[in-house]
Amino acid sequence: MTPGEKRRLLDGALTWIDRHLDYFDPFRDGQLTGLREIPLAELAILTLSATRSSERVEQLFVSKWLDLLQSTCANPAYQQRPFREPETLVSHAVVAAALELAGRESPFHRESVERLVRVSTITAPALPPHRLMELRHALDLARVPHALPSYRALFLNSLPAHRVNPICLSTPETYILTHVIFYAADLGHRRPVGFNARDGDRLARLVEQLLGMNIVAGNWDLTGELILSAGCLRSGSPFVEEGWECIAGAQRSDGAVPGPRARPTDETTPAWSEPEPASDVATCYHTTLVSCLAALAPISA
Amino acid sequence: MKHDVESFERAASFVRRTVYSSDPGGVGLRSQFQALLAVWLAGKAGATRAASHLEACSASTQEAIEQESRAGSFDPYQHDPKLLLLSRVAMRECGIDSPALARFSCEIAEATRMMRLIPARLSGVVLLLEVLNDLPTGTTSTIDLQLRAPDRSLLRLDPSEVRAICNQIAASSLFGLRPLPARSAARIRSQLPIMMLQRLREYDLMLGAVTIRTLKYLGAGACEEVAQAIEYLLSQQQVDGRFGFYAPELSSGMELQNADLELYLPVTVSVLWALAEVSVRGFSLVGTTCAPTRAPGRRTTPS
Repeated sequence: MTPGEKRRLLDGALTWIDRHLDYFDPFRDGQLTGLREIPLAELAILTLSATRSSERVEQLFVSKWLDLLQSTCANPAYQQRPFREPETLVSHAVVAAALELAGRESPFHRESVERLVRVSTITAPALPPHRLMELRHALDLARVPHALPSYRALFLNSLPAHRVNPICLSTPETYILTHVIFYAADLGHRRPVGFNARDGDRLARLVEQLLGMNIVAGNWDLTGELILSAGCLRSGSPFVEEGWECIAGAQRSDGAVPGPRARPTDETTPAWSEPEPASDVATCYHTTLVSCLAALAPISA
Repeated sequence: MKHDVESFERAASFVRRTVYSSDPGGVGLRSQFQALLAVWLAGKAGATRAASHLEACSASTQEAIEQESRAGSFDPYQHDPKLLLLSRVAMRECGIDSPALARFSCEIAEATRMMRLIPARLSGVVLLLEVLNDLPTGTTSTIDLQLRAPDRSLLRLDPSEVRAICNQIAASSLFGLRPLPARSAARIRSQLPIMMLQRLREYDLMLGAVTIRTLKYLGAGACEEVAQAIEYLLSQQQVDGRFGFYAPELSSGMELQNADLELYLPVTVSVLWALAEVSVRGFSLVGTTCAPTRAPGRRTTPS
């Protein structure tokens, strides 16, 4: 796949996300819920990547994403939520980091959050190790002081620190693997922290196997995540190129990359059987966004 | 790779109980041939209890063939010719030669002798006929052993296409007796192991097992993925020796008259064969060390 083809894939995906930006608004259905915050946090991660990437991203897009992040943060219901439900802090920290990195104002009060982290049970080892690693990554991004263990200590307690047979690895476990790599490598923006050379080699091999397996399975969401993981580990594999070709082949003319639960549609699909627009966005947004993250990662540039 | 003889013994025991302890009239010849192959394979893999039953299994299969022959219903062409020829090889090891299978061998050998260019899909048959001393090729016959790698990546082929490639590799390599040129097999060798992992993940144990054997024939039997696949397959053996846990499929619409014969038996035979190929040092199905293409006057097309 040529850099030009990859660029077209990225532009199509970014345009689709821009066209469906209202889906990322956690207040779009009125009430704020934990589930509704997830797309917003993922948009914040994309904003961070776009801001830090050497790939040029249409500034109008980034500006609109930042506007949404900022207007959401201005809503007291959103702003106060982590103080009532500290387990929602991760997504708030990521949103704050995206705003601050872009030079936007954020109501995120670092000292208050630091006190919350100290007082609440959020850093107690009740969370699984990969979730603690996620929290540590989010707090580090938002420059909130904390007493969480090192990346190395967290990694050693996580699933990917152990030898696993890829045949037995479930889909949720594969996401744990990719996310541990993302946190350790700050989504490709630094060399992985917490892995030694042996871990890195073993994980690179596992990522390569799983990437190939997900190409066979036609799961473009995990294919995107594993391409990004391979980039984070700085490991080359012929399957990365093949994965890109598959994602490009699966990308629809409107720019969406269908996720595993998306219903296939093409020109011949009768109108009555087309998915509802909301359900279509819900099943495509994550895969489309992950494809953008993989294309924006420094290793892809 | 760990060679687990007890696993072979248990699998062979399941096969014998399923096929030879049942009412002989209720078990089709196809199942009898599969069971005989399983017991023979287990014996070759060092399972001595299984080996001690080979003669009885051969005699039972022979009796079943004769019964069908007497009734005029035996049609060898309804079966996979390689399975029939392998059965004959196994039976002859116990000193039993079925006249019906011998006739079939002669007919096939006569047909292949007439061919100037023997197609790759028949090379396994030719190999087995050679093992049976049935002289399957004429002095000017050429066996087409060229490996035709697909243009597309193996990762994007459907299971039936992958199966076809596995068959082609088994044929071109003569079940691993003939090394394939590194160049033509390199891409397959890098993609097939990954395809195998995913098919096993999807619980296609048959295709997984066939792919393991294919990797052995490609000279990649010692790769990490094969070890992972074997580790996984061994974890899928039930206490009674059969391979596979198919309750979900059987309880959700898979309609079979006899799941033991139609599902568990072929899966168990296939897994047993794969285990034997990669975990038994020096294992060779037909126990010959020279490819049939080496006989004077015979040629093969280059790969």
